[in-house]
Amino acid sequence: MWNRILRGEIFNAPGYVVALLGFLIVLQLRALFQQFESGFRPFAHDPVRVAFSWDMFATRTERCLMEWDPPLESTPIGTLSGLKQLSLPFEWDLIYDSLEQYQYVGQMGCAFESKASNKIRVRIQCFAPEGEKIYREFYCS
Amino acid sequence: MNSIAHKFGIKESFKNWLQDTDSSYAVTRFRKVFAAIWLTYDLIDLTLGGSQAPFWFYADRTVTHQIVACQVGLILCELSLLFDFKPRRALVLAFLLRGFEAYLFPLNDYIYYCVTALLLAHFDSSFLGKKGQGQVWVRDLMVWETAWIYFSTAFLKLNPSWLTGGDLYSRQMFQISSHNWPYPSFYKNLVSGLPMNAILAWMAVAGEFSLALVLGYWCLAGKRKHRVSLVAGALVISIHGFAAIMMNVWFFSASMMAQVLFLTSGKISDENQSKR
Repeated sequence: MWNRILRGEIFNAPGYVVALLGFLIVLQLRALFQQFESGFRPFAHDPVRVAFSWDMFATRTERCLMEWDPPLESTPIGTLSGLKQLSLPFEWDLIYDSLEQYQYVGQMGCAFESKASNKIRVRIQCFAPEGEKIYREFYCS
Repeated sequence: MNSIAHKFGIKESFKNWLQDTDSSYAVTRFRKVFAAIWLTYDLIDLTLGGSQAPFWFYADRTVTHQIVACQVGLILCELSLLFDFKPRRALVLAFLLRGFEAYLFPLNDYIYYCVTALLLAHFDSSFLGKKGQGQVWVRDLMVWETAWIYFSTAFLKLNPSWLTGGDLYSRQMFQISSHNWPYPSFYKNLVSGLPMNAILAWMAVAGEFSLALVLGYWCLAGKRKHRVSLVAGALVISIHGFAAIMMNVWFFSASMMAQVLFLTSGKISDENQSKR
């Protein structure tokens, strides 16, 4: 048995290959069914993020720019003026899926500033899939 | 059931399929390109801290240290693959390490990497006395898997946010505003409203469904038809060329392009086909 495993022979046995095929089929069909359970309906309702359903670019996305004015000074990584500062110009963007998530992150940043934090303004500019620009502004509290 | 399978020779064909070896080196070439693409990804990520950025608000740096350890491990695995040093073990380890990253960030890119590494880890027929070659079934399964990925993603894109062009609008406008992305000015104007984005969105869905179909056909009947590989190549380059240049998705795009181009283009040996 161990010899067959070490030689790789076992991975060519019909039973093993059928099991591997079954595993991949069940895993991915289950993910697709989960999309339907979560409300996805073709042409009617957007899917959500489900691992192994291959939902790349298929879920509803609001992309936003966010900054703190004046910049946060006491975060674990030092001074932070906005999310752009944490993104790379290529491939790696620090992004979230909805305005609510950006607002939450904005508030989380505020929590690092103990002194006069109510003077820090959080500015968010979003692009919504409805083709609209949305602006939100609030003071840290 | 058993007798039906026996009557139609399904069992026999299945066993032959498992014994067939692929002498085209298509998979071993793809394995190296796959390693090179993701090695570049992990080296840049490790150096510039792209994957560590979302944890900026963590005072405890344990997670970022775990990510660094993971990236170092992945880099070693990919170097091992690149130099053909114990490639199967390197792939199993890479599958586990990327799986951990996928647990932290459930990105499709990472999930795709895990599935691909898992399938590639099966490719070796040295136990059949054919060193440097692998099994046909692994290559076929990888092409079927790729076809499913394109079918599923195109099917899920049949939704209002995508088809109205809204998703492309928000993503491309973000690229313009956040990174001053160097789109040509006429293109900036076109994508600043929904109509052009809707056309692009429908084209993407059509392209992905077509690619799924072409890859399925390749598996069933088109392995020897050079034109099938050419159509698959043209489709994958169009889809992922757009995703890379316009949407800033470079590494996943490069990997998918390599997967389709290499796996569908290698020669299929006559010896294997005659067995069926």
